[in-house]
Amino acid sequence: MSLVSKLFFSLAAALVLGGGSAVLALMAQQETVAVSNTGWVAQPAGISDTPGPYERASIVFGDPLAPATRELVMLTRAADEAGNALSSACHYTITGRPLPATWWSVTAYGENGQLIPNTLDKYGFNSGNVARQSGGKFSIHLAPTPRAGDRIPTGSVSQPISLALRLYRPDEIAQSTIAQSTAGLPDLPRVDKVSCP
Amino acid sequence: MRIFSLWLAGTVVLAVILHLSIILGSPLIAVDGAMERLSVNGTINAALHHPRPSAHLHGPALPDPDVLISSCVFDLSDGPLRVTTPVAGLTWSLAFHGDNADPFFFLNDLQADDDYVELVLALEDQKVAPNARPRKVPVIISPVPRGLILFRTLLKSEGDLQQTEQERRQARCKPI
Repeated sequence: MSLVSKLFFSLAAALVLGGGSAVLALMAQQETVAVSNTGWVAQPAGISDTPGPYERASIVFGDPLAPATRELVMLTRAADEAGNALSSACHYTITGRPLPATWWSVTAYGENGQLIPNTLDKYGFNSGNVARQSGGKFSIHLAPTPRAGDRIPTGSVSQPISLALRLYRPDEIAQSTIAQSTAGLPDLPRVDKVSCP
Repeated sequence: MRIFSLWLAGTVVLAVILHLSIILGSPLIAVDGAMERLSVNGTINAALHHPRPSAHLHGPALPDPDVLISSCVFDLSDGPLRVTTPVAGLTWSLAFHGDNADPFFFLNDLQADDDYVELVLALEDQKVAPNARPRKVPVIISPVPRGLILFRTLLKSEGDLQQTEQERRQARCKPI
């Protein structure tokens, strides 16, 4: 083997070993947590007050300035209760009960995680403006065309969509059950498909 | 055999250097990107009040349309900064991050003593003249010269938008 070949082999091996191990270590730090028995996935929180080098480095895959869990827990989903991908062309209902947080919101996003353009400039509902039924229950339509009651418009362009559920200042049980992926949060909202064209 | 061992050792050393470079370098790149995005045309040591997220603005993924963000990219090389802001909105927070990604100070509306916050941000070896901090304004020591302050204001309702916007736009970040 010539010197150039050996050098090339050495560099390639170092790249695979060093780079690969670094990327794997960072991905392990940023793993999302699927909340048991729900379709929601908890997104990584901001880094702690005293981060180690791997935790600090893991922010390249997330929001480097995300708030800590005590301030905000964000969950996302891109599928309905049956596990089918959410589509802007379909009609869904988001139903739930009061959530264990000071304040919460549900927001819809189009492809690339951008807010969906619509004539109402309405992107979601929150605990301050959602219509309540008995026991604090709520039901929100997620649909491209008007419906009776609260509706998040999904626009005129057919595309895959996703939802973000934000719990501001979640209570301690919510913080720990979400972080540990336990089934302690049975009251996270359901997303059920009503119809598709 | 000896030459093979040397090559192997060299490859392992190179792999370790690469691994550490990625681990230590990536937060700097990530925070640098965030600072560049939030400084808008390189503005430093001044508060910038970013528009409320909407479908008409394209920014980072999953923007929160209920949160109003103001920011201040700081560089303390030439001296300390004074940070002043009203406590606005339904919930409010102030987070200081170094350019190495470490959060080094956090304050929210529950922790604030008053509905108006005044702080001085300085490096450990920087002297803050007594007349520059009347009323014994707290001095926050930054572990690094450069970083970012984020002001997050959660909007209570659409009806409060105008008032909350007015209040959060009073946030200031100025060299002393």
